[in-house]
Amino acid sequence: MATTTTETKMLTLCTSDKQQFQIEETIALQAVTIRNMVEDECASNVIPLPNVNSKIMIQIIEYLKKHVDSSVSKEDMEKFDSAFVEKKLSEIFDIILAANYLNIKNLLDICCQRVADVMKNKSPEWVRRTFNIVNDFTAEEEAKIRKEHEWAFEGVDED
Amino acid sequence: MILELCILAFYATYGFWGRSLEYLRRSKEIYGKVNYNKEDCLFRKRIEEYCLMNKYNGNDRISRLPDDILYSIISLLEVRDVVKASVLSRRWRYICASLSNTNIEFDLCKMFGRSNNCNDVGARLGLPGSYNKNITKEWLTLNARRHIEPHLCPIVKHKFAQTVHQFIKLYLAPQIRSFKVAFCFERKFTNAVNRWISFAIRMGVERLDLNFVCSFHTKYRNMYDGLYTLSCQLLSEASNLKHLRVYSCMLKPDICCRFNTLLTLDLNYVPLTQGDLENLLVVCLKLETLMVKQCNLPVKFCIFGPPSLQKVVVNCCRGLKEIELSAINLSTFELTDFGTIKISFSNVPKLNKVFLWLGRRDWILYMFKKFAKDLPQLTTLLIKTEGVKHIPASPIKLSNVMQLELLTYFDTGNDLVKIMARLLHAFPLLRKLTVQIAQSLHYEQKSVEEIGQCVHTHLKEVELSGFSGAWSHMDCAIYLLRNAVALNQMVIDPWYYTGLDLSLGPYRHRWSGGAWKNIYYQLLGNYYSNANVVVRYNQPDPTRRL
Repeated sequence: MATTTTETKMLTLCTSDKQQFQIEETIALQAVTIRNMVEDECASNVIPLPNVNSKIMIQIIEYLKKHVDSSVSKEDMEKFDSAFVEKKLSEIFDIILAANYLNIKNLLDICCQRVADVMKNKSPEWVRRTFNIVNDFTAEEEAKIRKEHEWAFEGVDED
Repeated sequence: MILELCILAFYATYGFWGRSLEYLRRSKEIYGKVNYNKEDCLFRKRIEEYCLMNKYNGNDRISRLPDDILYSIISLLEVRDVVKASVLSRRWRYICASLSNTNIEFDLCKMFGRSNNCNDVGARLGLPGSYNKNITKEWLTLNARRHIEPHLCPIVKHKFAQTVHQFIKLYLAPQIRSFKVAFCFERKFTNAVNRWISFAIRMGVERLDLNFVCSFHTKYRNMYDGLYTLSCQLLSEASNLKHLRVYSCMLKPDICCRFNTLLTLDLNYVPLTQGDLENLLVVCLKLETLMVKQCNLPVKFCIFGPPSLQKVVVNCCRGLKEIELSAINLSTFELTDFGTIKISFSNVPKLNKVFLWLGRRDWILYMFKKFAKDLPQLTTLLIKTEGVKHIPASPIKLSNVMQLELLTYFDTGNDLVKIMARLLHAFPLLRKLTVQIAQSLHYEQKSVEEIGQCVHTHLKEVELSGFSGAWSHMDCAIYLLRNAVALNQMVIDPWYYTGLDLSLGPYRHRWSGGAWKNIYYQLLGNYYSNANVVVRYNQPDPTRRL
């Protein structure tokens, strides 16, 4: 991490595992939460981010760095975004929570889209297995819901 | 007996150890995860909490996300996937049921199978399904609807209708933002469709999209016989409706039924008789955008718009011969027509942007004269025509136009430079010029000097797309570089953005690497201009569409 603060103003972010990240202010201010903190001047030197760990922070900084760069064309940005979300689902959930906390709307949107894409046209059983969702319906209840919307369960992708 | 005892003992020991090992492993995991306080009792408590939590959730991270995130994930799904998600667990059922602000879309292609593959739908419904894989999604959507065999059609329609009906019956959320039905329903289904519309209205729908197109190529008149009729009375009850799009419906406006909230009205394949459109404009008090596409219209269409009207689009309407425009706030007018249509502008003081796609060749002359006389305030003009040769030489001037976009699709050969000269002459205040040049087969060089100079002091940006590197194209670029003295930037682009068929998308001239260099150095070699010359090569400009 760069440590010079002579030309560009730097901010220090402190993650939950007490790691410190120094990044340019323009990059960090894309996160609305950080912007509010800076504007309210409630953070003097180090901005504490107790809900984000360093592993996720590195990825979020990677995203923010790309998105602050105005020279990148729209197409390249889309390419970057689609490559960025090609991660394990558990990581995506971590990023979703962090993006939600830091209030970075675009990042949250692309991650939600990634999760939605996984669910597209798959059977409920497949979705449950993939996300480890515990079925807490009784067999009768589930059968009733399925019967009500029979059409939706036809012709899904094979697992 | 002894052997059995041994086995029992073995199992007991192993079972015990197995369990303890599991316990140890788990505590280790937790030790790592939870910020462990070394006091033993606290540690135990943590483990209990952790186990309790995991008993229900396993590592079901998605269900533990906050509600608003789950909402935004679900709102990205199709109706069908939302229904399937509601069976996952109680939490999901609750989230799906209380989803508000939703967009509901019933489209044949998305109802019974993969969302973007209509072959599947076709196959499942017993339709012939051997479509070319390269064609666009829209084409498929239309064709899936079109290709339903007559004997199967009623079965599919009934199933579709039943599905929509059932969905609506079980729908719990308080609101719907947009509602779309896309399938060929005709008059027979009036009751069903009316019921859906009134449901959507009850839910405070803002955007209603009814697409009942069956086929473009059956005979028009016969097709209109059985069309569903959209009841204006029903629509006038909608208190939130802002955007209405209709394909293949009858619409009989009634002066008594007012649409007080409607901002956009988009009519496609709607047959209208004398007075219908005029009545529509009277009852839509806040209308901002009116689009009339491929409709059967009476000979004369008078737009005496409400004061809010800002944009009018008329696209290939049969029967239409004359348009009269009068709307004080109208700023944009788009017309696509291949016949001989007459336009009169009577009270359009704010009209400054016009898009024309004209079929007839001599049209352009008529248009130029007309614009010069009737629309002195025009600032943006987009013309797509075969008849660029008819762009008039002096003295017609459109002196306020600052942005001109011209699309040509016939080879104009060496006349291209002449046309550029006329353009520069006719638009003395032009700032930005965008020309899509049709492919040229003229490779002989003609001296630019033959055409008279026409120094232009305002032109700042030029974009030439569909540039093949033919001499006529090169001459055109050189001519502009020499004459536009204030030019900042010239973009040369090999991509041709629209063919005659809109679905074709950008089409590219094949340049070899050498050709690119050649073009670049030739244009740079002209030291007549300080302009920055950009030669695009690989990627089409993603922002450019029709």
